[in-house]
Amino acid sequence: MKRPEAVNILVFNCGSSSLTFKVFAASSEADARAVFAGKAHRVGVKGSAPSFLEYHGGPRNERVETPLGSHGQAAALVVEKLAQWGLRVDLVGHRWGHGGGRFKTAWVDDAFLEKLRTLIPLMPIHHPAMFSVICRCRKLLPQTPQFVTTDGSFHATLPPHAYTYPLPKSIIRRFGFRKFGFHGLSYQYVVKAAAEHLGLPLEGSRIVACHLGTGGSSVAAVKDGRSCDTSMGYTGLPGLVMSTRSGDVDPMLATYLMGVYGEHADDMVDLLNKRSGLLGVSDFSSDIRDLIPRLDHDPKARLAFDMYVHRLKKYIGSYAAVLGGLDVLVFTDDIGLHNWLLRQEVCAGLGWCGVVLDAEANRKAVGDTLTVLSRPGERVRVLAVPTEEELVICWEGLRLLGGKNASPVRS
Amino acid sequence: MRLLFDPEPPVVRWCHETPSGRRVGRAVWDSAGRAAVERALRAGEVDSVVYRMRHGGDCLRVPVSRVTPAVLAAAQEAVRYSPEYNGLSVALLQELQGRLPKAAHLILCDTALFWGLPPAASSYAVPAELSHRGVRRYGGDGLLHEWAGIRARELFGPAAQRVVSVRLGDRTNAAALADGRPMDTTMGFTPVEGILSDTCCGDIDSSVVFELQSAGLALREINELLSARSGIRALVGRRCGFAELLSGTGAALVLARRILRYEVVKSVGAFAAVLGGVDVVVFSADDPPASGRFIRDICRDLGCLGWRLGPLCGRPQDGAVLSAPGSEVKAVVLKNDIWSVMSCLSQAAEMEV
Repeated sequence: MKRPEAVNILVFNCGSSSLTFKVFAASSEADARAVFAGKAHRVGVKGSAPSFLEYHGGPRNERVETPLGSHGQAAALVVEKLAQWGLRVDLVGHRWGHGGGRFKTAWVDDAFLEKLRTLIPLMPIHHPAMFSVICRCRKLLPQTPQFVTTDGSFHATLPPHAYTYPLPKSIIRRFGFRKFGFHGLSYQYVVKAAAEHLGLPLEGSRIVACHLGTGGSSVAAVKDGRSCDTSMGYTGLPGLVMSTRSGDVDPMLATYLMGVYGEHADDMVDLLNKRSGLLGVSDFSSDIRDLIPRLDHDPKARLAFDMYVHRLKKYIGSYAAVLGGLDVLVFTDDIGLHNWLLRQEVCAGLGWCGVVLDAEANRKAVGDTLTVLSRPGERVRVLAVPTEEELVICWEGLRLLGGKNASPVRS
Repeated sequence: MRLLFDPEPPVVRWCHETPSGRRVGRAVWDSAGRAAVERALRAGEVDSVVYRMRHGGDCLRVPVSRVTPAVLAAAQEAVRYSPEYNGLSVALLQELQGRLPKAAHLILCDTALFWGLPPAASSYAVPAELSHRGVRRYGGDGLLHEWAGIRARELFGPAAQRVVSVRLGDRTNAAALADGRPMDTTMGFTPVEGILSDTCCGDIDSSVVFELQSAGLALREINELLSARSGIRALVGRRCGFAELLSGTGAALVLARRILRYEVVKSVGAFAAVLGGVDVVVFSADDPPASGRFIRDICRDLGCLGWRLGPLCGRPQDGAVLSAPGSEVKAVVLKNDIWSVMSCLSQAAEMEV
């Protein structure tokens, strides 16, 4: 068989106030490498510090301060830079937050764009930005095929007993409530990377992965390489204590506060999503890194940290139980990679399911490379694995090119 | 003689205990009900009268309290947390205190055990000022869980330090205890949170509430939907008691049973993490023999706890040990009987007085 030619895939990954972009040159999953990468910071953020774009690869590394009023504007700037340097783009891939369970990876044509538009309300904070980047790219690169990959699709393998919300069938039918889960691209990457590093066959493996970000965080239980449960739900609200999200709360709490105290629904959404979590409990910061220096003298910071640890520990324990034991525990994303104290506190007391950290290795782990944190010979391998969501999007693009839907619709 | 009351509005259930045994009764609390209790009182002198209260809120903070004017005031204040149940308990208490002024009157409160939860387990990650509105995890079934901890120590001695107590039934829930002290519970601000029940949804995404509301459902309808029309009932498509859930066939029932089993396994795993390992898992069921197979399935799923299971015990009785002799982690089945629970806990308190 003829070896396929290398293609250049431009990948956009929208955060709520940032836009990560990478260009991969790839002919197969195995040889995909980033030839250009960067990030737009403080997109659409009003404040004293200016927006800026930083990138490396291409002709030089640069950091440009420039007003970035929207994600679409930031994407346009990236496309412009690539054109200036003559870096060819064959394919553009986008991360999409929530596919409503209807697709995993798909080409974006006019009809599909309309479908995406109807999904915007499912993630009102993230989707508008993603949608605007897709529209802008279609305008600027009309001849270049584009595709989207949903973040939650890794969790499409959840069994009914894990994804079902026990609500009346008429309600489920009307609204489509179920557990979807998020951070799927990240899980797909770290599970594969961890298993490859350990030489562990995915078949038969039992992995719990913790994606602990500066914004959202979640945990996933992965058996045979397939997701079988995860802590986020229909939306990104439930599960772990996050920076400003409450994570799990009694569903009656919202109706109580609205009914008894007359809180308005919009305010409640705002309260649980933007004013809760570490920020709400500590009354100080949404960033766990700000709380750690205060643990000894600030009881609220201590409580916020303890709650974060307590909730995360519970999820790891419950997933170890449903997996019937644990082989690998993975920590990833900014907080998971760079916070040794947090990992130490979480793993303390998980000895019963075989988790024993190497205190020194854990403390010294730098976070930007895959590092084994458990003592040699222990039953459960604990790993810090830097995640690569954009690479997974690139893989998905290659899969689309090589698969049955190999002829993308050009607009 | 001891007289125990467990109100289930509009019905009052009671049990009068004498050294020779127990006699139970139940009646709607009206003149006929009062007459029935009056007949029970003629059986002998009453030393103590014990009342169960479901939700003590922030008013009743100890599981067993002897009624003083201050305790009575606290109980009255707690009525708002569960107007029907608590209201009937307080009404009974006031009537019987007048009728039996010489007896000791005790209140047993289901949520009080969990007043002692560590803050990391009792708090929600919501803005701190909400705690002034009573927002915290109150838990439930504390009397049963406390009793389960006591029974575990009776059965296994001081080795039973870290106990996970699972109540199986229409309102399945679990608690984690360290040396009898509460460390966590599945129930939360209300009993709706946690493991799904016969009619409650259990843990779901709160965003569901907001979407239902923006679709035009009233708060009252949402409350009713989540607490009375969800859970096993929603999965099966009709009301379904625990006995039928255990033995029924058909895809919907099998899925409902699977989900319940899964939720229990998750809770025990979570509590093992909270406790840093488990010494005993206690399963309390209304009908242990009928629940044997289900409990056995859960135990098998929980292999990661490191226990060895004994030979298959098809229809376990109260006190049946499912773990193999010598297994470090134990599994035991208890018969959940509210009179035994109330009697055991009040006995301990009466001796202290």
